[in-house]
Amino acid sequence: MELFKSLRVKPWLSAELEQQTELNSSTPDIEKSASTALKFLLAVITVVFFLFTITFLQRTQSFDFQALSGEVWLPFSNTNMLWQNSAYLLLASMSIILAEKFAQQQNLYAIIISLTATTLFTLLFISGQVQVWQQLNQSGFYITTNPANSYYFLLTGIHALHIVGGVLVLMRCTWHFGISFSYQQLASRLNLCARYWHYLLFIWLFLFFLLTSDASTFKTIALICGF
Amino acid sequence: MTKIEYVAIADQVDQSNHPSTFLTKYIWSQDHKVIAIQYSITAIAVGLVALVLSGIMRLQLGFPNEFSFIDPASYLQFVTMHGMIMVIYLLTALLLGGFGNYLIPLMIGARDMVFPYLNMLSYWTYLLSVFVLLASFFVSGGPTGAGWTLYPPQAILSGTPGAHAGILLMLTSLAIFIVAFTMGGLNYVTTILQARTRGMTLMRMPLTVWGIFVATILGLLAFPALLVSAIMMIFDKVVGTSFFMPAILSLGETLDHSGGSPILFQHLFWFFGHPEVYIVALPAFGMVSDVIAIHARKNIFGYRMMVWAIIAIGGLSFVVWAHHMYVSGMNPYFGFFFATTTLIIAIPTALKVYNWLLTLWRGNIHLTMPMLFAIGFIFTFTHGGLTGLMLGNVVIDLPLSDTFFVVAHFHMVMGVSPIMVLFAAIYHWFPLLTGRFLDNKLGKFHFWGTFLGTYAIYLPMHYLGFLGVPRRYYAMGDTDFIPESAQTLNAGITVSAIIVGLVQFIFIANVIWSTFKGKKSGRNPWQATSLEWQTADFPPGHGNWGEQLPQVYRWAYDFSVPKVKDDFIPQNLPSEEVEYLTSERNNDRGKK
Amino acid sequence: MTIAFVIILLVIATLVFHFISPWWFTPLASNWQTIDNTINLSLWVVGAVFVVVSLFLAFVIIKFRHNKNRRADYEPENNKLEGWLTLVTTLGVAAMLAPGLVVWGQFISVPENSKIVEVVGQQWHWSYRLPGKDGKLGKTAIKLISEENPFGIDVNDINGADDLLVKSNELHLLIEQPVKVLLRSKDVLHNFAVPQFRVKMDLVPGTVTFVWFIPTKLGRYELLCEELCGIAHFTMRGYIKVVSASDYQTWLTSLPTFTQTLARDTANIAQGKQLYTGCVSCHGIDGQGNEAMNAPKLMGLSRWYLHRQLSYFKRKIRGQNSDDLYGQQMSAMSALLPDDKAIADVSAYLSSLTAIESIPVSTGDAIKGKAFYKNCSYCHGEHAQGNYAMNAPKLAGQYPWYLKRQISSFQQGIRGAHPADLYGKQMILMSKTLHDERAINDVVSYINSLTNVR
Repeated sequence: MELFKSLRVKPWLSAELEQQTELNSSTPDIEKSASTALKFLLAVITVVFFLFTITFLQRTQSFDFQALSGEVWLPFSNTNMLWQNSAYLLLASMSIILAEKFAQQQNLYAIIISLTATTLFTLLFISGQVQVWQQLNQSGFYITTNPANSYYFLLTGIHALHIVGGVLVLMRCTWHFGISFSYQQLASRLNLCARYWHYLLFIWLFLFFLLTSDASTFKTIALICGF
Repeated sequence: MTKIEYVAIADQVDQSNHPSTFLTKYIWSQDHKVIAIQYSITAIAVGLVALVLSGIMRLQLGFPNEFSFIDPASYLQFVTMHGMIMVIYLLTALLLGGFGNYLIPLMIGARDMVFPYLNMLSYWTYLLSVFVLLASFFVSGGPTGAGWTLYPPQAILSGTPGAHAGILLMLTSLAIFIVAFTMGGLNYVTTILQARTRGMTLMRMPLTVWGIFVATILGLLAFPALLVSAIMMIFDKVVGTSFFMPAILSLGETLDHSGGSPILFQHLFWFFGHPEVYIVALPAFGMVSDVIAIHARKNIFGYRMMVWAIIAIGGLSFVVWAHHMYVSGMNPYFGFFFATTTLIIAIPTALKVYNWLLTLWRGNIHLTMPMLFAIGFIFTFTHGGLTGLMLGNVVIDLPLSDTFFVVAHFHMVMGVSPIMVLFAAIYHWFPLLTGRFLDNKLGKFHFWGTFLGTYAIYLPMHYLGFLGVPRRYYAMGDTDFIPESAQTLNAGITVSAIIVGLVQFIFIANVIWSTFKGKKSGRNPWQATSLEWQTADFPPGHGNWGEQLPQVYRWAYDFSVPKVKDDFIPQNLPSEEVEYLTSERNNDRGKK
Repeated sequence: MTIAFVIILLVIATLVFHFISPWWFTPLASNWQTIDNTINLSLWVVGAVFVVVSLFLAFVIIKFRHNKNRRADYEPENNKLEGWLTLVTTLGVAAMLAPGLVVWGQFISVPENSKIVEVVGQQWHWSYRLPGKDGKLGKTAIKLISEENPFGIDVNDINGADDLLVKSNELHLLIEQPVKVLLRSKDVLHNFAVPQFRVKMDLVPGTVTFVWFIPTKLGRYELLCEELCGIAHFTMRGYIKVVSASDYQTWLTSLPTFTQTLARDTANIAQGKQLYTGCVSCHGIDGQGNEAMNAPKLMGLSRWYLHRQLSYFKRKIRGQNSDDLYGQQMSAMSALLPDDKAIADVSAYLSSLTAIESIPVSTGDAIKGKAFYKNCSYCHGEHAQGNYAMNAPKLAGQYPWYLKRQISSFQQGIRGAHPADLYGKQMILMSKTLHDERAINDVVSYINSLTNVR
């Protein structure tokens, strides 16, 4: 609404100008900028996963689609492994919030411990995902055998790549912290990382639900979406 | 790096951080102006490759069976590479990476982009994508010949040239380009949202910034579709999945695919591809608005409407994509929806044309080089836009789709028009880069050659389309429905195309000559109001502004304000300092 | 100032070009007059807008060109004017869109009484299938496609048994009969486009699309593929012949049903050997050919190719051109084969012989020839072994002098130009990619070098 209002201003009239001049009086602030950039980045990632999802949902209705759960012999009728991975990612997301808190309190040891925990849980998540892939391969669910398998490997792979990217950024943050020892800077950066991790956790839970649904769920979704 | 980030956007410039060596100043530079020039030079260089490719294609079409180095395979490869390079690696990179980078910080009063390091990374990633793309000329099988639309299944099957290494390099290069664009794009939007100087409200931004801003958002949201389709196609090719591949034969051999949908790729591609048209067009709209206003010494007519139109066009561009697919075999009922949205998008676009004309109306038009190109743009864009109205109307697309009419239309609207603006912009902002004008005589030659030459290419080309000559045909051969004379027409088009191609080298020569020997322009030679001309140093140095960031007091279009002495008031001039005329020579009928 | 006059001149030139241009739509031969009407309507609207806007532009440039003593107006906006302009534009757009949508509505609703025809596209040929008496087409699948069953029809589907197959690039349609064309592709995207009918639609592998029209004018129209489908896209041509009721019946009765095509293989090699004795004087005892007699090597060529060429000679499709001396000879000699059965027998016999490799003769630069051959390899195969699916004969092992003569015959339209020669036109177009004698020598030299590979 605020935006619409500002878009209706007549910029050539000085009366209307005055109200707005104050809006932008401060010099740019790197925290705010980074936060804005992160919002746009998440929007971009959302579009990527959204488009994958749309193509996936369309594909679920093709004749050769075999959902990965629903029957006992299908791999994701038992999702324990995936729940375990989800737990790792959840723990990683939580520990990164802790790290941010500790950074604000300037508690160096606690920061080290919580960031180690974050990295560890994140890596556990990725290795857990790799294990699931191996299990799928061992039980004959290869990437090419079925579109559902293809999408499983593709989507979890892309998601894992995003996580790896996050870890790299996190490492860069700690590296800079190691040089500058600026707690304030670390806290603000960890805040951004935490948002990224939460977002990827959310994406993962969404993918979890999507990829392990059974045929009848897909049918319902497809009906709602009008495929 | 961090330190530099903080410094670059702070109010005060830390002198110790100025890059000093040649390497940091011109190669690994984080200065947006240097990066912009790097982007521009790379884009123009690769664009020249594409220009030469188009010349070769035209030789084949104009004089079939005369040139032995063009065979059907290489013809398709040239078509493909010409299209892809021009659309993505030239236009997108030059308009956003080049002009966006150069103008955004200067026009909104920032010292640099908010993430200069990311900005530098964006350029080097872009350069990498260009190298990967060009590498495909040297691999076995050559570059892909699938057409710039890269439709599967043929893009990855053996019946198409470059279906192995070529297509993979193309897709990889696109993916890298998208990463580069995303890094740059995040920078542009964040800079515009967060780094505007005091008093620079959104509605005081020049339309150039608006165009680049909305185009960047479009790019950020549309390029993922291309990324997604590129990734899935790479999987289909390398791993053997069936995302886009149904059960299928390839040159008589049955392949292992099943169930995939080629139309799905087309939806993804055009979900990117249509906004891409506006990623190119919107910055061009913005820049041409500013050029017209400045050189007609008049405020842009209907500024608010222009901003809203940019936003509306940007939004609508996401719901018109399937007008590229009327005859693709998609659900035929989509035709109703997409024809309607497509024709609706014509309304804000038409308004923009009216407003440009109304800006000229009662202006004081200086026919400078930038203005000539801007007028050329209005003419070609009107022409191209109107034929677009025809093609968008679903039934008219039935006979004309996939013919030269389509080729002529999109070259008119997406090739010639944006390039007219690019030239207008280069002639307009060249003094800002170098402190010198581009040579006027050579410029005139360049303008007339380009303007008349391109019209001589594309007007007749529409008529080949009416005849029914299909596009992407290596040779037409003898057909009943195409008269012999069409070949004469084709030859004429080729001659014009060669002339236009050669004229561009005059332009390159002009740029090189004028950089060193051109006429000195002095400060703010066009007497423009926007901030980029009001910097402390001229041309602007590192950090753009001197000690203090500028303060903005007005919009960018205070030209010929009644009762004011000069016919322009810079944005950063406080109201108290505006000099008024003592005598009441001017009437103020225009004042609201 | 010049620019304003140039714009005025360009507008005039555009109008003149439009009205005197001989390049316009080819005359309509279907029911889609409505499409033409929509185009004309739109063209008038956009043409008028183009003229008005451009002339206004020129006028403004002249009227408000720079003048030291005048100042530009200051007018930020004018809501009323912009409102009016929006309204007028909207009305103009609606006026163009509405008829378009109505016609599109017609385009997507197929009339009840339309007959079904299936058009099958493949790289880079057309073929057609018509339902038999039952009016239904049999099911098909890609994996069923084979040399015996090129349409991939399901043998177990009762509807498919009486399907009429047109393994030719020419389809006949009955005049004034609404026809729903089902479009199916075996490999990549193609597009069914006949400029005279105005409508077109893509063929998409994995799904069946359709287009409908009523042919209204007798004639033979060229069918083009208008969706890029690979290297030989530009040679993917077919014909649609619109015929009268009686001609249509004659044509229908000449078509084999699916069952008939399956049962056809009755060729007798022994009889073929007998019949071949009439040919030995030129082609040699084992069909090894003889340069002195200008007779090509026949042993080991594929049956389907020999069959096709022999019947061309016999049906006076090949060897009729006055410049084709040896073709004329062969056409005369083909009288020795009384009927189709005899042709089948001889073809079967010749293809049963194992080809003896001849010693390669260098005619040109084989390395350069390899680059030229790349374009041929898509159909004729990497080793010039031929490919039934592409209707491309084997070239490896054939005499260089024969290949050279055939290539230049194709180039000059001596061979392949007859309307009934199915794939000749394709070769005419492709052979023209070899621009001179040297190129022909080079490519032949390369093909010749392949003899050793296999």
